[in-house]
Amino acid sequence: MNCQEVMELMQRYLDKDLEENEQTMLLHHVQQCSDCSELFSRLKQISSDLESLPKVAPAYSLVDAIIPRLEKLDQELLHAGDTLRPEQKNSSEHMDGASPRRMLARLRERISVRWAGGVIAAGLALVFFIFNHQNTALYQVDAMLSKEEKHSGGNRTTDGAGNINGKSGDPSVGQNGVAESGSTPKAMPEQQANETRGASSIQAQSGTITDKKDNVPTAQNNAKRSTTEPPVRAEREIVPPAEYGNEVANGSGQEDSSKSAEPKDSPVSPQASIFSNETSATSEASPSSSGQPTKNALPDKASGQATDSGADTVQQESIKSKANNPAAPRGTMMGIAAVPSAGDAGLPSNDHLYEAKIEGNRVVIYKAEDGQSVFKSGRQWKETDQIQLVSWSDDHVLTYQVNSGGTVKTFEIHVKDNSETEK
Amino acid sequence: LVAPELIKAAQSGDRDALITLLREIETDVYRTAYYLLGNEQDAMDAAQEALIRIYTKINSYEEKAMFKTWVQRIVTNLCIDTFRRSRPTVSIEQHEMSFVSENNVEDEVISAYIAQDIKEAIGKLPEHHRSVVVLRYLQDFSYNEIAESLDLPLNTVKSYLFRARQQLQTLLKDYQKGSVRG
Repeated sequence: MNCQEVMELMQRYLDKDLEENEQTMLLHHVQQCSDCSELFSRLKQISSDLESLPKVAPAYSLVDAIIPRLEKLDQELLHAGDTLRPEQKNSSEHMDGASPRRMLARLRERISVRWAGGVIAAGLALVFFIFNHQNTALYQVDAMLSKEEKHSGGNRTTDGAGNINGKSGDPSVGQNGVAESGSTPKAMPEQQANETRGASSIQAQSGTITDKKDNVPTAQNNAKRSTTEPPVRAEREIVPPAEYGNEVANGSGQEDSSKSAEPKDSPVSPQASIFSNETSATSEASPSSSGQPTKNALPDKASGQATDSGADTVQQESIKSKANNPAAPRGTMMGIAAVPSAGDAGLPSNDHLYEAKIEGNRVVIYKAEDGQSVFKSGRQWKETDQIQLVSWSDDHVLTYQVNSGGTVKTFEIHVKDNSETEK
Repeated sequence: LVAPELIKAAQSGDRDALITLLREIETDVYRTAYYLLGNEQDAMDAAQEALIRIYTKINSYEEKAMFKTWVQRIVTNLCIDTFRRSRPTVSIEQHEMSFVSENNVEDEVISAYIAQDIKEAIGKLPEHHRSVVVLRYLQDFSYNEIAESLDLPLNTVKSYLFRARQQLQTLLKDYQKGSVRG
């Protein structure tokens, strides 16, 4: 064994990497070779010196020192996430501003959930889109039906709904894309205006379309969820959309928009009070109050940015057509769901021989000809119960539903044999 | 040793866990930076950078590697970048001066001349030799752990370490000749 080979053994000895026989060989050589002996002892010294180097520690906590930078970093990443949002929204369309914003606030504390959050946001967006989409469609179906029913006696076709659905969906994509990709501060009130309008249409719908009752609770939930302050909005659920929209505009602190909205606001108020007081739903209350918010929202939009898109015009037109439509009989039907105790509103049978009304929280059927009551339901409901006149069959069977403390019951009144059955 | 559960929690987005984890490793990170860079201020800066990098890249850590080697890889790479950048502007003499003229807590702790000599000698080693020595002696890493940290073959690690000790031995022999310690 030469000194070169022993050199490696010495090194490995320092790292305790030697087999027993290798160690023996090393020690044997070192005892005989003075050069290697001297080197070996110096290396051992070096190694032990290195081992005894002070285990230094930082003078102050480095983590504490970097925490502000980490927070800033989180913010930056969050903003990076923000700029990604319009993309997500474009693909998922009717994204609601409120929930994701709240979620993002939470994400500030947990950066790594960011992506999970993104997934949830996308999911929520999809849910909102589906609801809003449906609602817009239904809203327009309703507008269409007002016309259609007047002329044809109320044949509702799913085809019509499908077509409108497609129509209303497309422009709303563009609208949201424009409105939300603008990351200027003005985009916020703008977005809220959109939201509000979405909510209004939901409400208008819950008030008007009585035979879509299954959608009503969901739609209302949706409205609640889509608001920034659920309790406040929840209270205001019966308040007409016009006021609703201004509320938001004021709340968002945009002075010009609230100012511009104010004068137009005043003519709405009386109707609003009629509506919210639940005294009666006049034939005009529904269409006009639901028509107004769009008009009020428009100044905001115009002053905000050029986001006035096809969606608005489509919606507006449909609303207008509804507003312009005298539709007295439809109008009376519209108030019923929202105003359970209202006396005037009624639902005429298909051949207009009879009219069903809700009086004193029970269903009464009148003969249209002379206004004589032909049937008075034996079921007396409470003030808090919601009675909805659903539909007439051709053989004079009235279907109505009652939502009593969350449970929905369906009843049928057979005018012919003067009987009432629960389904 | 950092608990695997803590790492998992940090990776799953638990910011508190991530901060706790950083606190557990900050001394190790600093120590490597200190012996690689040779002074407290640069070590503080580099260690902070390394911790920030770990904070942002925690999800890129994969379990197949040891966490401590992953951490040390980050800090050694950062330090190597740092002294590559600073080398051209700082002459060897000035660089050495920074070791000698330092008046900080660490230097007070290093009361023995030997430690000071060794520290200076380490500063004269080529960057990879220096890294191997620091990981071997200041982090108590095995050959394999050093190889994993520096992304070097095992044999290269051994040869760097052996040559580094050989160089240190030569350097310190010269020191000892010209110093009180002779």
